[in-house]
Amino acid sequence: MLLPESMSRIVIVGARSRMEEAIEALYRLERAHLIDYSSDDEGFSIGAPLPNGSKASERLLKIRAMLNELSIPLRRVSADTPVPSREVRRLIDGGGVEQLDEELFAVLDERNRAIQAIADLEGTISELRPMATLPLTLDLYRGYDSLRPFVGVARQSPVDALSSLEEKELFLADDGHFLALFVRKEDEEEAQKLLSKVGFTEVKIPEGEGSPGDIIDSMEKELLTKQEELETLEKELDNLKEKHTFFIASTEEELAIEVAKAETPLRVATSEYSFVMDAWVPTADLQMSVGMLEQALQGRVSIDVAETRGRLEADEEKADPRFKIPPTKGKNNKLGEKFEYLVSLMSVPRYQETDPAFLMSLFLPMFFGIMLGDIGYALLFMWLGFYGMKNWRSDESRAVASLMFFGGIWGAIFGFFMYGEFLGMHIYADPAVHAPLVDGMAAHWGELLGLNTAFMDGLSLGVSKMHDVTFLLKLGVYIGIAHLFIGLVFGTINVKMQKGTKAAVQEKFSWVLSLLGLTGVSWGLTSVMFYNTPIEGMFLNILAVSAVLLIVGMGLNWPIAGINALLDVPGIVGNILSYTRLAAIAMSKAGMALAFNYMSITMLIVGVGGIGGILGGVFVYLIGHALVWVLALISCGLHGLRLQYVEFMSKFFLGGGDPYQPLQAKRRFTKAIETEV
Amino acid sequence: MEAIGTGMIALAAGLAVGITGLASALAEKEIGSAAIGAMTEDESLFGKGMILTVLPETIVIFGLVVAILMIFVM
Repeated sequence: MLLPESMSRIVIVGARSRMEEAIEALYRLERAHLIDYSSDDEGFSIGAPLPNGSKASERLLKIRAMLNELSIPLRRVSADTPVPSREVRRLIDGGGVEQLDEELFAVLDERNRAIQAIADLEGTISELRPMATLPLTLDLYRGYDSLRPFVGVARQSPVDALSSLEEKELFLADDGHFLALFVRKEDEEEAQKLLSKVGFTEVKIPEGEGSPGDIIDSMEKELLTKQEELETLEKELDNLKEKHTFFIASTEEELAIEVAKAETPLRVATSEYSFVMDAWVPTADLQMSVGMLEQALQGRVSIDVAETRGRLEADEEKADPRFKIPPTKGKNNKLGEKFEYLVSLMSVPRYQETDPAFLMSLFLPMFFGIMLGDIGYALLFMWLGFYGMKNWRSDESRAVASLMFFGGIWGAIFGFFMYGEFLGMHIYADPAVHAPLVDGMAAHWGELLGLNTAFMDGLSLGVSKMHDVTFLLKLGVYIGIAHLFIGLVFGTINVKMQKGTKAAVQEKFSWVLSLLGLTGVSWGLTSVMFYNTPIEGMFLNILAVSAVLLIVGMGLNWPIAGINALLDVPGIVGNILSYTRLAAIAMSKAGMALAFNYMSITMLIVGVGGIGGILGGVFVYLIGHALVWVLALISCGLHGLRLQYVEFMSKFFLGGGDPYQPLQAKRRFTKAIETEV
Repeated sequence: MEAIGTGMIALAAGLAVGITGLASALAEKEIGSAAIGAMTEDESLFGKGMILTVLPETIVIFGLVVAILMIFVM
């Protein structure tokens, strides 16, 4: 369960004419991770795409253009009733794509023309509108030999500025800014100068004849018809979209698969008459895979098992560069699978090492729960996480949802059995620990709501995050030691598997001993320093054994690490102390929640501030706890993750694997129906 | 005198957390911006970026431990 799936390499050799069949069979197998052909051996080169590929890519291009034009989001299209791929195939071969393309783009063209026409009309109308206020028809604005017309808008009133011009005809609109000025050709420059002083900008005189007002009227009528036309076209497009969305989606899928298949030969070695394919197949499925391929290809190609790769690093080094790294296929249970993405954020596990996903699926939610430790917040996390796991699609949000759900479960467990806390307040309280909050009232649900909380007595430890800090700090340290111990044990297992026992003892087991020794020595030192424990008897024995373990550990590590065997010891202390963040974050959450509870309870129950106080109390209560809840997600999640990535995984995890990507057709809208074999 | 002593402890605890917090922040600021820069080039660097960014946080955790020891043990 903890190691990635074991992989075997198969070699498929056959006549070139059989390559298409072989690719088809591999796609149907859905288990073969094809190894790209990259070397250049004598007589071999990469293959050419299958002949049907270019037609398919051309059609795929058309379909994707339709997706774009109709703005269909593929992720939203319902995939409830997949159709047999043979049906889709038949439609495509019958020219369905071309037909729809023609039909659709005819309407789209018409729509675009209508939009253009509307924009043109609106432009002309807005140009004409000011002219309609002048008593001139359009033909009067042009066609003069000795006159120069100026038509446009002046920022200030032009009447005074133009008074120096003797020979002129000025028409001014009612708004005092739009004007038409006619001067003699000789005065053109003079007029231009005068007009520029009043901030004049000339406008284009539209084509046409007759009164601008009449033209506007007829154009507005035309605009109306065009707009109606556009509306009908849009409706028609919507109808087309509704009618063909599924066809487009399923065709896109089918064609994308066809193109991928057609391009597969580019990854395969071919000679003039033959082809050679190398692929990794999970060893567990090897017999079945070879059997299925042989049956599908009926002995027309040869299928050989070249090797089953072990976990030794030496095997990897011996291999041909192309076959060095087998792909990593996680072999996790349902729970572990949900955390594979979080591991891959760091790096894909190598083929020869423990996949941390399962360990992470245990520890990450547990740490989240310890830091959260509150039934109220936990229930909310569980609910949102459950919803997210059901409905959210992207890898990132699904990872967050799983963390919320499982973290929420642990949060509720710790919240009940360890802290006994609901929304920042204890359910019941030990009067010796909990000082009265206000007016002799203790801040716990039992007293506030008048509940009988006697049943909690034996069940919950009632640890207070604010008062039992030393206990929580110690707990954090102990968890840290256990967690690092597990990490180093897996490190030892990994190195033993990769390089053998000697290397495992030197590299990792030495650190297991050092960790144990260091723990004992540190415990002894703190006892002596803080509690003045006399060094004698059993205590002395433990201390001595610990010191020996520490020294033996460092000694074993010395041959390969040198001085680092000594220098890295404080690093382990740092790693352990880093787990005190479990207590620190639990405490900070509780501190904030306490502050909000104190404020709102003073207003709500004690009745400070009257009606306003009650409203304020509710407001503070809701906003405050929402804030704590969001911060809890961020800090508990990130710090929990950090403890996994930095402290835990660095003890056994290297990463840098090649993710397993078998040849397969991912179908949502279509379903493959097995052809008779 | 007792009260002054308690006050001194509280002050020292505050300084221990505050100054180490500043130190962590200064260190993380530089690493964080570099990590974001690297991630825009290559998203797969998230893991390494995150690890490097949170490494200095240990400083403030030490500060916190020292502060808590001062308050609860001294």
